[in-house]
Amino acid sequence: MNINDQLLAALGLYGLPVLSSLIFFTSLGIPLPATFALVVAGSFVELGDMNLWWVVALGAVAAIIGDQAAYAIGRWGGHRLSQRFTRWFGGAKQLDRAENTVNRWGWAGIFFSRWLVTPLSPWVNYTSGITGYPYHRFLLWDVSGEVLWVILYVLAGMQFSDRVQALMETLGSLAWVEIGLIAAAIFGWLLFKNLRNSRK
Amino acid sequence: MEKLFHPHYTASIFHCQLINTFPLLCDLSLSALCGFVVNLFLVIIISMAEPRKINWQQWLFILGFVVSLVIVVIFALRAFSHAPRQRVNEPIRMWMTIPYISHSYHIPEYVLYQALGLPFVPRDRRPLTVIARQQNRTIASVIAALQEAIKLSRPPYPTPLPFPPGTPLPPGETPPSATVPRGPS
Repeated sequence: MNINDQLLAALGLYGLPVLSSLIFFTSLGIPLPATFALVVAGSFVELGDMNLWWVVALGAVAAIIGDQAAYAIGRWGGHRLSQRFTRWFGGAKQLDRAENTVNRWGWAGIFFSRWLVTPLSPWVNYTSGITGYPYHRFLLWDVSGEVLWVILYVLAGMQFSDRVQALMETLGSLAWVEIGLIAAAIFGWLLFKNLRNSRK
Repeated sequence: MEKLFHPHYTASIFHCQLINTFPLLCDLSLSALCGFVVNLFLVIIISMAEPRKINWQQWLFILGFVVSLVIVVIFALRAFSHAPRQRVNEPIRMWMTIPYISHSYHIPEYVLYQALGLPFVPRDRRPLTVIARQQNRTIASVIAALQEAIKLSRPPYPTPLPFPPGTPLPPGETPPSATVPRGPS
């Protein structure tokens, strides 16, 4: 039996506690169908089985708490581990450079990984903690992104309440389109910079 | 003949053709856009570097860029082909509830309950896996029974009433005409 189907069956039967738990553990990086659960919850809202405001409120709170937990793990566990690692094997300069980049561009990574490129979200939580991204800024972009994510997917589930599986297939493909576009932009920028430097 | 060329008819024919060709148009325009971007990028690269002086690192970046765009095109085409534009018959899964299947297939709930030999339960949140366990049946047999009931509720078979037969009609309401059996025309 498919574990995802079992979890969605539990969502239908027990409702909000299952939805919140799925979202919380997904924020920690455990591969669970949180986005699909949100869309199905939207469909159940449309059928009158769930309350829209409770779904949005509990979904967003669960996601935010999960993200804070992952950030804390990265900050207290991962940061120490990376410091020890650089002391033993070197690479302190590279770590500093990574920290600077995250501090400069971290807001975009945090905000867009919440609702646009959701598979990257847990890894952004951990790296934000490891690189010591300022907590108040992390919280600000995290809350904005997660509230947007929950509202968007629940509304999509309500709009396409009679065809959630087809919707999820489309959204799954679109996530890959976004990842491909980001990768293309990064490779394009690296190549452009490399060529410009080699001409000098 | 005159009727055939009435503006309303031609407009509706055009509308239907537009809807049918819309996904294809989207796919083609997306492919054209991606092709344009790749060509533009290659022109920039060629203008920036002498081709023979491109080092292995730069080749790696070009490869990464092209592979990323191929991924974009493949998944964009897939997304468009799966886009839920119209009503689709979703495969019935074990997590679905009877109200969800009824909503998805646009079939009254009581028809599905009857197919499983169950009484109608308002706001029933039991997924099929729970119903199968309660009835000591396999999930496959439950899904097969529902699929059969759905098949028998669609043309050429008579459309079922929106409420169970024998239910008293609310005052002032007439029985729906859709109950007349429809044969294949």
